[in-house]
This record gives sequence, structure tokens and C-alpha cells, in this order.
Amino acid sequence: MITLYNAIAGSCAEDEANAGGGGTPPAGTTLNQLYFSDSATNGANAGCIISFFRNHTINSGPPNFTSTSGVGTNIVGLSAPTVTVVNSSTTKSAYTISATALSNFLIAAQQHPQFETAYIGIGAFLQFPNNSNTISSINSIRVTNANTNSSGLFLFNPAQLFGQSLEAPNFPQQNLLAIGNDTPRAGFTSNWGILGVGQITHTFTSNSAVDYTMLFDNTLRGGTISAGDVLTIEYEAEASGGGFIEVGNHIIEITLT
Amino acid sequence: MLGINIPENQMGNWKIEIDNGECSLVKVSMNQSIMKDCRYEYDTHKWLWENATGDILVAGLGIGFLNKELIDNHNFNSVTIIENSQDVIDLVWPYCARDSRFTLIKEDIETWNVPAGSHWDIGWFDSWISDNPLSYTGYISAMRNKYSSYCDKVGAWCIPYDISNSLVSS
Repeated sequence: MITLYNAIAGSCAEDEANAGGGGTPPAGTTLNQLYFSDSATNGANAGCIISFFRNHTINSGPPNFTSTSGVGTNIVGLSAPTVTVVNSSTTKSAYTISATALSNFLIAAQQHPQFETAYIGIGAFLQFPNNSNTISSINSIRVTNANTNSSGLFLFNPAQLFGQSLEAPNFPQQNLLAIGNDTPRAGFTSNWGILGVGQITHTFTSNSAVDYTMLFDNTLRGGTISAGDVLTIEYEAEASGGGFIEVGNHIIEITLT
Repeated sequence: MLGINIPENQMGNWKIEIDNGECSLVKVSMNQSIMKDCRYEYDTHKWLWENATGDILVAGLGIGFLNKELIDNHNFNSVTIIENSQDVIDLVWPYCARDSRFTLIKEDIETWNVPAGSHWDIGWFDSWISDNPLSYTGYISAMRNKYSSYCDKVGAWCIPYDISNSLVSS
């Protein structure tokens, strides 16, 4: 038996540890903080819902110039996640995909008539163990890292790098599971996962800084996309409830094979 | 894609070659093309095309890709290009599109001692290649930190935003 967390009465079981994947947390590690989950059920598994896709923007007019999202194409070949506990406040969803599949996906984006960009976003439900999941306020949801060791890839998250946040009107809240594959651009309306639901706008004033991560092909500047390369995106959420303030982190790790 | 026409040649560690009809700048020691006259190059310059106006600072000569597009389709006062390789300059500068509004300075954009009082309407940073000790993220951050005070707007290859007005310094 592996204890994911021990603060929810009657809820400590390994079947809560392995959302969507079947990973094994390090022995003895106990999650005792807020954590990202792929289900809105109280005490459900750790994890998240990933949306990894390519899409573009359609500009129409004249006489009335408007922009809308194109139709997204989800990546093919991404494995189911292996979810593990990294430490008492951090969980990780680890995926694999072949370097060839990712390269072909990026080439298809480049060759699309409207030129597509590759995006990675997540949806999640914020579980709050120490107060039986009663959250009175979400203090922040942030992207804290977006990086890769690949010379042929470049991960760009405006929130992590520049503090530029893209948020829907209902951001932040506990249930941010709904996510599609529309182009995440200010003024567009969709389900945006942890960015919220509805029309998203840019802001520099929020305590949070959250956005989708863009993935670019750097091979035109001499890099290569190879097996063993790793993409890493890290999220952090902080919430209050019942006298508790809890902070949890979730890592998305994609390893090329 | 834009019809860049530079004769094939090699000087030192740099080579111009025509690859499937597309002019390409190759770094010989990497055995890799680092700029090519192709549609992906055009699309990843999108921010520049949408913001090119006034006085423009450019990091990296490459194949002179942006010269032709700026001359053909944009209104601007001047373009100042910073290029640190004399071999690239000798391979490309005599043949790339340019007019009296273009100035070339042989310097390394990462270490250049910017003349006091310099100002540009936009800065465009596209001198990173994958053998740079900095990651691309590190390069972008360094360029923003160094040049935001000289440029009203700052853009970089691939990035769809003005990166000068950000909250985070790194």
C-alpha cells in the first residue's frame, strides 16, 4: 500500500496514486498538500488532462476584421501518463512520444496553409487534502518552468518567461478540467483548462501567471530533435480553506523515444 | 521562398549552398543549415513583419532574408544590422538586397557596447543558433534585458510577442 496523502478520512490507497498511468510513488512519500487531479471527485487520483495540439488563427475581413481559432489537431503517439509523487507537494505526469512522431507533427504544423503553432495546455481539478477539499479561495495558479534539453526544440511559455498571463473570467477556480484544442489567443472563447472557461484576455496584474506552452522547431537554427530529449513544464497552485494554505506542484514531463 | 539569390561559396566556417532551390547558410562545423529561404523562416518572422517601422535594430545577417521583405513591403527609416562573423558578411553582404537605409556593423550583439544615446523603434533578435552556450530562452532574456532600454519594442525569432514590456527579469 502506498499513501498518497493521509489527511482525508478513509482515503489512502494506492489506487489514488496512479491516475491514468500506473506509476509508483517513492516509498514513504506522502502528499499532504494541494494536488492536481484529473477528476473532480473528492480525493481522486493525482494527474491532469493534457491537451497537446497544433492550431492556427483565421483572420477574416474586410469589411469587418475578426480573428477566430482554426480547427486544432491533437498530437498522435503521446503515451498514457505515468503519474508519480515526487515529494510531499509535487506530483508528475510522465509521457513518452517518438522523436519522429514529434518532428512530423511540427513539420505538419509548418506546412499547414495558415502556419500552425504547437501548444501544450492542461486541465486539472485542485484537490485540497487538509481541509477535505473545501477551498475558499484559489490564491494563484502559475507556470513556474517550461524548458527542454533538446537543441532542436524550444518551449516558450509567456507566463513563465515574461509574467504575461492569459486568463478567462472564471479563473482561478477549483475545477479547471475542461480543455479543448482551440488557439489560445486573447479574445477567443473556449474551454482553456487551468486558464478557465470563456473569453480569455491578457493581463500583467494577476498574482498568477498562466498560459499555454508553445513548442517551436529549432532545427532551422542548427539543432536536432533526438530520442532522449526531455520537455518539462511545471505548474504551481496555491489555495486557502479552513485555515489552511496549501501549495501543490505538478510536472509534465515528455520524453522522446 | 523570397527568392534570395546569393552565389554558392564557402568562407571559413560558413557556406552558402542552394538546397532544393532554396538559398541556405550552413555552419560547416555543425554541418547544419542555420537559415534558409523557406516558408517556415518567413512565418517565424511574423512579429517583425507586423511591427517593422521606423528605425530597426537587427541581430544577425543570415542570408539577408529580412532585407528583401522589408524593402519590398514595409515602410521604415533605417535598418542597423549587427553581425559578428566577417565570413558571413563577405559571403552575403555584397549580394543581399539593401539600399542606403541599411547599415552593417561587425559586432557581437551579445557583447556590443551600444553607443550612448542609441534608440530604435524596434529591435529584432535572431542571432542565436544551437551551439550558443545560452539556451534560446536565456538568449531571449539576455537580449530583452540588454536592449529594452534602447528599443521601444523587442522581438525575437519565433516569438509572437513584444518581449520588452514584461514583468519578469531573469
